[in-house]
Amino acid sequence: MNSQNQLYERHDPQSVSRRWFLQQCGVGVGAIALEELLGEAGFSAGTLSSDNPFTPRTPHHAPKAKNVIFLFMAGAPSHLELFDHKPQLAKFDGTLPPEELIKDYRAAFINPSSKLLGPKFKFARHGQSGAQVSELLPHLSGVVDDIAIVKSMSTDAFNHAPAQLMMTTGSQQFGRPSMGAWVTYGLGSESQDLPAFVVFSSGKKGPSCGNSCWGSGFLPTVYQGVQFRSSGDPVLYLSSPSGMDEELQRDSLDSIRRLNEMHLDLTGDPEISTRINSFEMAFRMQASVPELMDLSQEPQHVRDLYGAEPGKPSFANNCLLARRLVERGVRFVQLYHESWDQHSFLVRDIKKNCKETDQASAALVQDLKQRGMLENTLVLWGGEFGRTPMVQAGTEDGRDHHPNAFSMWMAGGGIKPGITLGETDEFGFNVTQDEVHVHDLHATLLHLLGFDHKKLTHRFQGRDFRLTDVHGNRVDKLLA
Amino acid sequence: MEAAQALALKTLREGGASDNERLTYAFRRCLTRLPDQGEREELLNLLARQEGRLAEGWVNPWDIAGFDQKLRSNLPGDATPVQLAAWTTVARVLLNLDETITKE
Repeated sequence: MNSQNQLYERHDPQSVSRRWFLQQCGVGVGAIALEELLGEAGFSAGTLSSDNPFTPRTPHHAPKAKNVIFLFMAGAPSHLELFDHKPQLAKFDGTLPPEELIKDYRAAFINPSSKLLGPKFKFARHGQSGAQVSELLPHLSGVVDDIAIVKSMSTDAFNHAPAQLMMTTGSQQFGRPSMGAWVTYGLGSESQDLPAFVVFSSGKKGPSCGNSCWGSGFLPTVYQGVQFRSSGDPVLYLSSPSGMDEELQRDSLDSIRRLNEMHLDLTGDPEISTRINSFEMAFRMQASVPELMDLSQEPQHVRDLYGAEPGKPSFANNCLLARRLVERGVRFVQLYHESWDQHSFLVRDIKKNCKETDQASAALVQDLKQRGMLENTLVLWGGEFGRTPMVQAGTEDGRDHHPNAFSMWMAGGGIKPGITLGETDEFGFNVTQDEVHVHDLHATLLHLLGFDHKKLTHRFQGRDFRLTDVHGNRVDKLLA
Repeated sequence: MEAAQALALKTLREGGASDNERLTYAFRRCLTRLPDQGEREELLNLLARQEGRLAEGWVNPWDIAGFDQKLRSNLPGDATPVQLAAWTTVARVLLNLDETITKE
């Protein structure tokens, strides 16, 4: 009871029966007393009225955003080549950085006292807002009035896995729930036929932090992200074994359900209802997933907008799929694209990355807007940190990892459009104005979804945890 | 699926002469206890329904029972492919029960 109590939180107490207690709990009276003393957890959206943990729930205040699409540019794109225009840095190209700048600074690979490297691409102002964007992002330049660019992001970690975990879970260490898990825990799901939290990956490799980036941590496991593959079977083992017809499959599942229900009646273990639900979800997904993945249903002009080609896995296909998922009520979609880790060949490789992602990212914003979906869909774009203004030793144009300053953009779901927030110093090294730490981003994201980040909590190992833990300030300047 | 096919074969070879005995055997192998009356009925009904469908040719028994040639030659003399396939269905259900999968 004490070690597993998180499994039963927010369930109707009647579903956790006396018989289950007597059968399964060897310990626990002391733990129950303690539980009483500590009182209710902060999240008070009410106990679950049914055995479905995804029943849509009411958050703390009226939400602006109902869904989130996070375009995670894993490997960390260079802010200096994309959003943070530093003409002064060009002047210092080939010189050493000032000593006071790099005092106590530790880089992942390079000696901080390495020569500065000027920006490699041209910038221009775009749209009504006059936002500065690099020539690498011609498509995004066309939608700058719909997005907010944040040039003053900062994080705590300077290596990929911990920084990606930081961005996705708010902690550098494994084991915390990811933001998608928190959001579905808080809001439930609008989709009966698809998982509430779906993950796609494209590019050269998967994210460095692996499944932990979409894990549920100590939240009930139903809230973890489900990874869809872009080629072959989108969900492994979802298809029925070959030769099995639908009636046999349905008959077998009905038997499993009836037998599980008998056991549930006997024990009252709510995890059995979770399993019954997930079998039923899987059965519905046998029909809904092939339908979802069939991009040939999209008109040619929409596929062209994204640059998507059915049957040819790409970031563009994933962006279009993300829109289709949100349309079908999926709460949280995360698309990973690796890798932006340009320690060398920055010019060559960042060009390639931008070519693979720019058109589709901008298309997603446009497409959502045209359909009236941008209003309540929050789109986030960004990596786990930035890149150093110093050159990576031994390369002509590489940049090392840099946590002090980096850029992101976001759109829709209550984000103020057409603004650029924050400033960095003349090297793009430190934030000088309107710093947005990853925790602040999380607090803002939860606010847009209707939550006070300090109140969306889950009790685990004796204390209440939150996505922002003990940190985070809502960034009001980003709110529409 | 392969595990269900193997369990079905083992059940037909070692589980006894009647479906009732075989069910007890397969159930105990998965859940280390005897089925109660409701569970027994549920699973025997499933077996009968699927035997019927297989016999009527809705599904090819070897598609369900497995393509492995060894399975075919190991089938006890009096057992039919339809029986093996129907038992595979029952074994698959047993192996997917919450009680089989979870320790608690």
